[in-house]
Formats: sequence, C-alpha cells, structure tokens
Amino acid sequence: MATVMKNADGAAVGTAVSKTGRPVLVATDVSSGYGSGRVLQGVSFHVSAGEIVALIGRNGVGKTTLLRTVMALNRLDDGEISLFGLPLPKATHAVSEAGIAYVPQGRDIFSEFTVRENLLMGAHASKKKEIPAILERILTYFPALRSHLNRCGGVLSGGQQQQLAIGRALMTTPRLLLLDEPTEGIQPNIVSQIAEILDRIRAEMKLPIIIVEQNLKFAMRHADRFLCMQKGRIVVQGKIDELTDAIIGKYLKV
Amino acid sequence: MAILPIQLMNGLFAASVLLLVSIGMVVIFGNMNVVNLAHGEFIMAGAYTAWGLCELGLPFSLSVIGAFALTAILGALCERLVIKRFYARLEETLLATYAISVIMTQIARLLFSSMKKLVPLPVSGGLSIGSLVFPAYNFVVIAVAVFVVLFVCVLFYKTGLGKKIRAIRQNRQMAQCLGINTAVTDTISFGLGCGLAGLAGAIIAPLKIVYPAMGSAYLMDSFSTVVVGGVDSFVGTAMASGLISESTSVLGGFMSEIYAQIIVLIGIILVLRFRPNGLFSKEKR
Repeated sequence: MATVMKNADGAAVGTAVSKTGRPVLVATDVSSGYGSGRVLQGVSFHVSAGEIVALIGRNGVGKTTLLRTVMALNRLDDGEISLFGLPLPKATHAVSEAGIAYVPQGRDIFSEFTVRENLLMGAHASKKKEIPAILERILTYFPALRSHLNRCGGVLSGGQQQQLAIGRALMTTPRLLLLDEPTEGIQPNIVSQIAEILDRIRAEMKLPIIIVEQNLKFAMRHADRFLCMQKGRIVVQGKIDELTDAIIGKYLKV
Repeated sequence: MAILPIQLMNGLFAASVLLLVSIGMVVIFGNMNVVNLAHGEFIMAGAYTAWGLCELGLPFSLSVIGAFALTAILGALCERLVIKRFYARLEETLLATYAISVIMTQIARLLFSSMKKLVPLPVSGGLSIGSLVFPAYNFVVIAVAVFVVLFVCVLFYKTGLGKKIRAIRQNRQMAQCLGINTAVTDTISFGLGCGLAGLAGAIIAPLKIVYPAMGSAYLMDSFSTVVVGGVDSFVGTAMASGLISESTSVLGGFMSEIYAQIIVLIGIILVLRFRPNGLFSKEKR
C-alpha cells in the first residue's frame, strides 16, 4: 500500500527502506537549493539493487534538483546521501567515479563531437583495452547509433540524441543511472524504442535507475516503485501498482 | 612587382610571429572563456627566461623548452591561486588577469631593472630563395610556428586530454558528470596557454629587445587575431595571422606602413561587424 509519511508537524516525509533488496542509494533528510533558496526540504528515500524508481510530481516540485543534488551539481545543505553505504563525494566528477551516471533533461550531448567521441567520453576513465568491448555492448542496445558513429552529435534528431545521452551514460559502466525526463520532446515511436532499451538494460544489466518522468504511462510501465514529490518533499511513495487515480489527482494533475 | 615576393615572405614571417604569440590565447580564451590580460606578460616572462638560460650557457633550443616549462608552471600557479575563483565572471577575470600582468611587470622590473636585454640570434646568416636572401632565423620562426600549430591540433583533437578540454568547453557540467576532473583540466589548460605564450616570448626574444613592458605590445595583436580567426579555432587563428600579416606586409610595400595598418584594422572591424564569431568559426546548431 502506498505510504504517506508525515513528521510531527504533519508534513510529509520519506519512508523507510523497502524490503525489495539491498539499498544502493540512501538519501536521508536531504535539503538543497539554489543560492539562498531551498528547494528540497528533508527528502529521504532509497533505491534498491535492480529496481527502477519513478520520481514524479508537478513541475517545480524539486525532482530535477533532487537528481542534481545526488550528482553534487547542487550543494547539499543538509542530510546525507550514501552509495552502497559510503557517503557520496562532494565533487561531481567523483560522484561519477563512484558509479552514478546522469542523463540530464535536454540531453546535453557534446554537439561538436561525433557520436563515437560522445560515447568514448563516457569511457574516458576505463582501461584502454576494455573500451572497444564496452562500446560494442552499448551499441547493441542502441543499434540506431551504429550507423551515425562518425556524424556530429549536434546534427542528430532529438530521439537519437536521447539514445546517445543514455548510451554515453552507460559507457561509464555505472552502478546507478539517473534519467531526467528521457521521453520529453521525443516522438512516440522513439519513446517506444527507449522503453525497449530500458527493458533490456533492466533485464541484462540489473542496473538500478531513478527516472524523473512526466509521462505517467511510461513511468507506470517501467518503474517498480514511485516517489511522489510536492513542494520539495516526498509526500507519497509505494509500489508502482499502488499509484492510484486518487494520488494522481491530488499530486500530479495541474 | 619585384617587391611582391619580398613582401609575401616578410608577411609569412610576420604571420608566424603573430601566430606564435596568439596560439596561447586561443587555448585560454577559446577553451576557458577567460580573456587573459596577462598574456603579454607571459610572453615577456618567456623572453626573460630564454635570456637567462642563454646567459647561463644553455643552448637556445633548451632555453625555449625551459621558457615553455617555466611559464606553464607559472600559469598553472596563477590559475590555482587566482583565476579558478573567477570562472564565468568576465569582469572579475579581466581585473584579476590585469592585476597579474601588473604584478609580473613590476617583478620583472625589480629583478632585471628596466635595462633592456638582448638574446643573440641562435642562427645567423641567410637563406636564399631564387635571387632573394632572407635571414635564416626567419625560417626557424616559421618552422616553429607550423610545429606549434600541429602540436596543439594533435593535442586537442587526437589525445584524451585535448578531448576533455574540448568537452569542458562545450558543457562543463556534463563533463563533470562523466567523471572529468574539470579543476585539474582547467589548471592544465591555463598552464598550457601560458606556456605557449612563454614559448612565443623565447622565440621572438632574439628578434626584439627584452624589457619588462615588452608584452603589452602583443596583447592587442594576439587578441584581435584570435577574435578574427574564431576564438576556439587553431586553424582559424593561423589563417587570421596569415591574412592580417600578409595584408599589412603587402599593403606596406605600396604605401606607408601606418596606412597599411589602418586599412587592416578597418578590415578587422568590418569582419567583426559581419562575422562576430570570427571568419573561420563553425556554425553551431
């Protein structure tokens, strides 16, 4: 059953660790923001091994800020975030080295680099002799990229760029993947392709994923659990089949 | 028209000098978006280092390498201590690099007084092309300029370090998200840019008089060359160096050099009016 957590003041807070598996990422009482303004206010959640967690909520509730805080792109004002029991580093590059990959909203591919260069940039820390095998494995997930390897990333379509961004993130051989609105602005047939790729990644790599998604249908098809945010807090969370119309109506409908 | 080959050759030599003094600025301005007002002072520091090492009896070639290394380390230190605090803040970086330029000039005055130093020509004599004879060192300068452009092109387009620097230029946060340590890469970039300025100073030292304020003369020349070529383009800067120097040289053969320079400067203004991203920058989607 979906859980609405409240503190002593009646404000909703995160829930305890679920029993689905060993926690990969644990965030406890995380507060963060921009400048002097606080966006996240005491957010607690966890992600277990092999699960896909959908982070949902209306625009501006702090979903992207939460992912950015995990990546240390936003400062952590309060609270703790740990990966496999170890505190996350404070520098973004070190968070990546620790095993978290991030695909931001808007993809942020390197438009002057070729598709190959974009992908290889993800593997820059890998051993040279391992890189061809990593690249080959990623291209099996994204066959559409194979024929564009020598094209500039900037001239790809939105859907191809999204695939490139996910592929590049996977090139880092992560232990946790953060996806921010992967279906935003993508035509439906490409969304289906991305959905199939996520299914394969999930089945073959057992990679835990946090996915920020406005496309509820997409989120409900792929996620195991959901975290619903409102005003910088997680107000409801539960298994994805517990995401009822009542919750959607209350927290997601504009 | 016998004057034309001489003017073209002189233009090629001047272009090589301009390219050498500009290439470090492309590295720093083009990739880090920092207008380094101390660029000329790193050229001066390179010239003094070459002079000092030659005075100690080192061969000129080693003095040039020494000048590159010392100014690169000096630049890296400046980046670590000062510049890194002001990235993406144009006014502050201008002020900080201006302060560095003043400090470096004054330190040079304290260390070497305002006395002018001379570095002997490492290659004497002349080389003839047909019936024309040109100073042999001019060809050394041209060869070094070509080598430096090839070196930076290979470094930036074929090596992991260069690709990281270019990735940071395109999207700093995404580069960090892929595990690139941008702080270390920034220090290397700034050091490299300053090192190339120092190398240029060492190469031009035998052609000029070495004195504390010598660098300021090169700041505007290199800045305008980089802007005309396209701030992030090595090839563009090479082309712009050639265009500016050859135009000045060839026009100077037919009129006063002052008028030639005025015409070229008007040309630069027109270029910036109609091609604000430079003549050789790529259109970006």
